[in-house]
Amino acid sequence: MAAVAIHQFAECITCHAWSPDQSMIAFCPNNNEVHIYKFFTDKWEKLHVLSKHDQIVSGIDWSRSSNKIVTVSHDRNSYVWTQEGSDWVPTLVILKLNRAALCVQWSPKENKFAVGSGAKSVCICYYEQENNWWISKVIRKRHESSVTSLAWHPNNIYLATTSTDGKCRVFSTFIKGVDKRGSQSSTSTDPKFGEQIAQLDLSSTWVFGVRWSASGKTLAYAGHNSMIYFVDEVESAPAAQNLALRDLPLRDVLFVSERTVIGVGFDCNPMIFAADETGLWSFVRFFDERKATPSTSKASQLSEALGKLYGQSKQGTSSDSVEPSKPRGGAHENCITCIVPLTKGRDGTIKRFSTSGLDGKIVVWDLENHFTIAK
Amino acid sequence: MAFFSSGSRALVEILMRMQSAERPMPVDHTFFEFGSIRYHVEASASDPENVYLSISTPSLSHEAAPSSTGLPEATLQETRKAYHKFAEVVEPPREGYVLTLKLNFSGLARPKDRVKAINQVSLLQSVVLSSQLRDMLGCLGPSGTMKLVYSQREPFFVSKTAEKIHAIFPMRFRDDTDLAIATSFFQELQDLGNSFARAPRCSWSPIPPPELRGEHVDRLTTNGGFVSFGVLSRHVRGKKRAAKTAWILLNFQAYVKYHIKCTRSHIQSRMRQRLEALTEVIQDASLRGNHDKTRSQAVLKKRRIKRRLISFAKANAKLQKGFRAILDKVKRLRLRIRVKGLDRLRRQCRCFAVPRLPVPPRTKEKEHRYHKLASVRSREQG
Amino acid sequence: MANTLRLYLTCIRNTLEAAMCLQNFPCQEVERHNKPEVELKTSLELLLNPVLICRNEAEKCLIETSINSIRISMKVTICHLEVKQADELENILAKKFLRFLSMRAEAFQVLRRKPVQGYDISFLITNYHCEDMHKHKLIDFIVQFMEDIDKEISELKLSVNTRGRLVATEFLKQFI
Repeated sequence: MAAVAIHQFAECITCHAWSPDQSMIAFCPNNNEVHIYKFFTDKWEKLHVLSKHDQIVSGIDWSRSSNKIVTVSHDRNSYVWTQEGSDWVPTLVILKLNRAALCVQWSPKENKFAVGSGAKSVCICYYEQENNWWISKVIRKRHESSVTSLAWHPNNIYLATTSTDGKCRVFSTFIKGVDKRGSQSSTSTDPKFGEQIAQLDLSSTWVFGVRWSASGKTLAYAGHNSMIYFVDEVESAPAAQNLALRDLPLRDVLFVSERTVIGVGFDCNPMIFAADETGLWSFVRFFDERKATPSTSKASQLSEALGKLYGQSKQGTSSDSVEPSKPRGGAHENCITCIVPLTKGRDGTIKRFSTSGLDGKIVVWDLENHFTIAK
Repeated sequence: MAFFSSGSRALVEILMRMQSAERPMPVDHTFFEFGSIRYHVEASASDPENVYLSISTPSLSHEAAPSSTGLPEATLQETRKAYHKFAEVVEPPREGYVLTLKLNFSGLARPKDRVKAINQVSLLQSVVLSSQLRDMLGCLGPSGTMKLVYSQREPFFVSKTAEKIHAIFPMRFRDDTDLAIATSFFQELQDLGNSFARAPRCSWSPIPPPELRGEHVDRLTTNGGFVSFGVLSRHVRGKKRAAKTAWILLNFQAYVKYHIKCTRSHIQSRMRQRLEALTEVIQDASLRGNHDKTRSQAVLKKRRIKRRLISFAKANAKLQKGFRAILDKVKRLRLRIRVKGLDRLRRQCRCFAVPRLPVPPRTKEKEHRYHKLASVRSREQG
Repeated sequence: MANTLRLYLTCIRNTLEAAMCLQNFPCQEVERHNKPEVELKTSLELLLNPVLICRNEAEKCLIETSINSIRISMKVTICHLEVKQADELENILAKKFLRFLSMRAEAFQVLRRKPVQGYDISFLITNYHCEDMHKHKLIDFIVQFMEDIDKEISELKLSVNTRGRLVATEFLKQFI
């Protein structure tokens, strides 16, 4: 198996994040707490329990440089935790949200973080040195439904969001005083805060899991109609590719190199997508080799059913026998909700990544020895 | 079904016991039988030979609420004739009863005769009833239709022609389940008519049969249709058979009601069985046992054995923890003392039976609560 | 007859496998609340197209999906006005049985106490059920439930008729 380690931490895990030195892991066991576990010689031990939220913690991110943890929860609050000694001290961030917060991510320079919420808005929070607290600026317009996922562009200014209205949008989050006026931006005028750079309306249903590639050239996100979308050159001339999946939809994606993407979702098995030299993306294989492979007739009926749910009609053959559903038989038993990169190789590709799911497991996968990554 | 037979077994038993008693004992016993029949047996210690038997039968009349409670003269004559060997009618009957007989078995020497007499007495009710019925049918003349009400139940019609008598029952039911069950029953009755020659032919129709033409409309409105039995002369040849046929037909409505009730409870118990089978499937679907509140005992036991093997520290209740702590200590004590010199201690520890952990009571209670809920509901639904 | 049942159930099973991709989603209308969106139906973008699978004129199954919940409604009985005399008993038994099960809905966890308007029985499966139970076992349960209902109703009808026949025989035997 390509899975290097499987750890069962709880009964159900919402999201997880690794510490900068990867010795500790923080996750939410489907309640209002965040558990931090540390690896001691041969097993994991619970080190801290951060409980300040009232409702389920929906997003955790651990900054690499400043060792701060940001958590957001369905109770509309966000806390930034700093380690002082052996304790984690929370700092409340006033988000000015009136609905639940769904996702959070530190910006590449880790001077800002973005929070997506059910209030159909995105909050960008930055640290104000004079008052010693975090201030949030809200991008209120444009979104027609809850913001499910976010991704920062490597230039620290562009932010891509996905929402349950089916659209992926790219905004500028330029904040005076925090961001320097960039020579990176190709346009003559610097974009204002909250200005929408692009809106991608490729999916007919909800979209999740958006990520930029390491160079920022390509954007990938997954739609609930079992599609994955790859968009190149978003700022100037977006060129999109849709790829239909055979089975169930994805929840999250990760770029392991410029031309390889791993997607995770309801199939409980990571999927590998790769682009060839011409830039055409295709599905390579499932990462975890499974013993029982579904029959083709079942798959075609499944796609037909999916098509009906999303308003498209597809042809399908019917089968006579009712097969009982087979258990997946793999590392994860239930839906995988979160994928996080672990070790980066010298060439910039990701060698290891970890996934967490609703079965309460965190699985570390090794790419190096099991798959040759196209650069 | 015991209570649909025409002889009264209770009466037989009481009289036999009184006969076979070594010492004469005073008796003052009242008992009830199915169909609102009441018996009263009385005997005094001073006069053991005479046993006073009083009977109160439900009325058979034209109207729903009969005015007079006395038996017609013809019935009394019949009764006298039937039992003249060992009984005589006592006038007036005891308070609250329609007929009182004074039984005296001293005239019958052989025990076999006595037994036969007692059996004859047990048929008293059917004798009274059949004579009443015959009396009423006689009033009808050679042909005609009349309405009868037996024991304040639903009225039914008797229509007489030269060759046969039709007993027509308009059936009314409270709800559609009863109706559906009864309809299927009537269908079967009709279909089986061919195989039973001795039984009167039964037929069912949703509309009033032609014999009832001319009757009042509100007596003819039903939701279950009309069941009619065609009684020919061969069905009532001989007093005994006539009495039996009359008894069966008079209790037809009660029979149908009883069948419906039994079928309903059968349906209920089947549904409950299926419910249990289905809940097992859904409980099996659960990933982890801790969230489920209702679990089957078998699943619980399996998982507990597993847990015990894996780690003691995961015990739920404090009590179990305490028990286990004691268990551990005892086990360790037993294992440790393999030293030769300490035989006495070993013997002491060996007679310490390792207690088995009790099954936690809460799941049992929860299960019982479910069963109780089901049975309460079934009682309410009747 | 059995053939159509197999096809019907396979179709339902495949639709459910596609539809039962649920996730925790807080309510957009009320803060700090988490409600099954398929019951609320206030945010239309969170609902997917309902799928109706018909076996024949009498039996059909409606599957409504949303982001955090799925509602499955089944109809097995024939409408009152169209029912023939022969099917009356079956109809009544089906109604009785389904009402019996619905009243004990907490034993099933995923069963809805009241069926959706126009249907005989309804299930409500939320993301919490998917977190607690194996998805394939949940789907197995629903499909087996449907099969069992069919079986049980026909068995009940058969047993009522058999009982009727036995009791009628006993009744007529009395005359002998």
